[in-house]
Amino acid sequence: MLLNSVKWNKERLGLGMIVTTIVVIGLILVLFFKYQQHNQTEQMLRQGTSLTRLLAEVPFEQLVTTGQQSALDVLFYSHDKNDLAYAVTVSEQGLPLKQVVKPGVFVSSFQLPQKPTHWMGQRTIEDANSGSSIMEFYAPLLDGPLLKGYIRLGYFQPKLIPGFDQWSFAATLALPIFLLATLFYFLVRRETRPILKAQEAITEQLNSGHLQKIEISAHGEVGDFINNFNTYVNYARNRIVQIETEQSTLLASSKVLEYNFSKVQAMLQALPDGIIVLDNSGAPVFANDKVAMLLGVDSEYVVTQPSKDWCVNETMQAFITDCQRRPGHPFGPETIVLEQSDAINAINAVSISAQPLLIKNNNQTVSGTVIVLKDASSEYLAQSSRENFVAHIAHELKTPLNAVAMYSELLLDLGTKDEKTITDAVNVIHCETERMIELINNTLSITKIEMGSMGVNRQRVNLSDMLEDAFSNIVMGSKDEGLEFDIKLPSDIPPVSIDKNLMRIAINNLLTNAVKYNRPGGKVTLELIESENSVFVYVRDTGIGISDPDQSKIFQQFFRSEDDLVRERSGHGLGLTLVKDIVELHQGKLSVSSTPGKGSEFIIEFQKETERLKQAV
Amino acid sequence: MILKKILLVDDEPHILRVMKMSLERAGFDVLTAKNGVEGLASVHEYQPDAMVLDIDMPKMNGKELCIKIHDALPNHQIPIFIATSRAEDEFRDWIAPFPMVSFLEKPLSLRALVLRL
Repeated sequence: MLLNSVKWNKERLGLGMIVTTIVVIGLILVLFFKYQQHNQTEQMLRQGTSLTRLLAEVPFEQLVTTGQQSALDVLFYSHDKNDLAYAVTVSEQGLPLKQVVKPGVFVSSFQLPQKPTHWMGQRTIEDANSGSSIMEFYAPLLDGPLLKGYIRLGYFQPKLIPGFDQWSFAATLALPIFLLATLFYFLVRRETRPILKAQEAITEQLNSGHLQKIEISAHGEVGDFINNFNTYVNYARNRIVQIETEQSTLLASSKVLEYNFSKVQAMLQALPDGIIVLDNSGAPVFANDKVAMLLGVDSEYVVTQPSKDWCVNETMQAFITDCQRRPGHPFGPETIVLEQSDAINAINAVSISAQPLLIKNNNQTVSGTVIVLKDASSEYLAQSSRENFVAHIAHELKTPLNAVAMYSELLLDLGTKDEKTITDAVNVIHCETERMIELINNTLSITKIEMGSMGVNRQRVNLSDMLEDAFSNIVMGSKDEGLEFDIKLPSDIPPVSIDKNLMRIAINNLLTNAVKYNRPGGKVTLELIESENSVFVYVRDTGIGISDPDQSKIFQQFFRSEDDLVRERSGHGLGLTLVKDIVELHQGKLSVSSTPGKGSEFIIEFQKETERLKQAV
Repeated sequence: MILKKILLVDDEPHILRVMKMSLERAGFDVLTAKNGVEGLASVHEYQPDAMVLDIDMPKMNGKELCIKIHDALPNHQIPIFIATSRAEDEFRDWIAPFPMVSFLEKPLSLRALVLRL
């Protein structure tokens, strides 16, 4: 396209010059012919006027004489120019007396002038025959004062387009102009050729995309232009190389930065705590995935949305707002307990703290705040569980103490008047004291076991002996309950490896419960059964039994059934928890089966020592 | 001396026994109930002048019983004393809407109870 355009431009220049030359030549010729026509007309007017006057002075006879000697003939034929159309002598009435006429010319009739002042004059006549315009000059012919006729001379008016003879002159004039124009055209072509070549070269460079010097020899201004252009190309190439070098350096730097940034981000993501980074304006600029886990929102959301949208807990939101208001200021640590509705991913408590983000340069610039969120659930639960445990024990102690306090107060008020009431009061005080001792013992044992400070002191124990001893103690203590006791112990059971003291507490608790939750006339049975790999201790009663829903809860700390029959009996909800802890400490199994109204059966299963050894091997 | 009708609600039989004995000796007319459900029924039947409840009872605890009484008799003028060993606010805040309800600290003193009543 561009090349075509260049060629067309080149041709247009030539064509324009030809047209311009022709127009200039034409214009010059028209002006020239116009000038010539004007001169000829002037000359014709002067000649026609003077010749008419001259002929008016010639004797009338010489003008009207027929033959070759007539003055008119002499004049007509001696006139060297071809512009005289006719010469006519007319009578005073206007009738032709003598006329010499160029062939083909029609002499029009003469209109007589009316006044003597109009006898001499000139007029223009259009000759229809020759198609020419004729300028006629006329003058009176006088003989003394007597008017004898008129002399009329007709001249062809000069035309703008000259005759053939004039064209040679015109050609002589036009030729040098044309030649000059052509010469000028070639000179211009010669001067512009390097520019066109340069333009083609630039066009090629634009198409190929390679910037390079133009190798064209030229002089003068064009040469200067090409030199300057080449200097510019050289400068541009150097600049491009420089920019490309800078760009690749920048690219490398940005990649290093990106790598370092990714590394820092990965480190922040790998931290076990949630991290939110605030800039100096307090706006969050980074949040790791742990934040998402702790707050239950996408970390991207934390960076883009206001804190009220991603922080549900009001205390935590207030903390974060404080951090945002005072960037670079340390806050906390503060443990925030989440409400049940705010708790996310089973997180009950979050520890939150804020530290200024210091950039290590000469002045240690503060560039924002780092907020650290930690899952404090386990600490909180442990703390809360300890507090709950202590509060529960205190509550459980206050209940028997309450009875002791009331009955002792009653005794003080009664004095020794009412024997029956005194006995009742002393019995209650005794029972409640026993209950407190049992509670304290169980609490100490459970605390030791659950804190891990109580190890199992295993000894080879004759289980039958131990069970018989525990059973007889219970029987002795419960002789007034009106219960039937039964014990079934095989005599040849091999010794088992257990902590005798701990296991005795467990068996004792089960037997105590079997008595406590029994009915009048009921039965308590202790049985030991041996299988190939295990020994089973059964503690059965025919008491009130345990409902199905309660069976799954009776081993939980402080669980007390809502059943009236249970509530009638004193208890603190720790006995069975302790039994379960002790059995599990021995890698044994504790299970229960019960029918409400009929009784319960607790089964402890121990693996025999040989089986335990086998499994260990 | 005007005998006051007192309703005692506690799941511990011997506590009920000793409180009943002391209050009767002090001249009160005493009725006992062993849990909240029985207590609620007795409020309607017995129309006591005052009540002493244990907080921790099976079936319906002291708190539930207070709320039920308030639901049934919104403008009742029966002073209700609740015996509790729990001093924490979370166990005590709930009485705010009930002007007739107050707490008694466990262990209770029978003499102090008689004086309060």
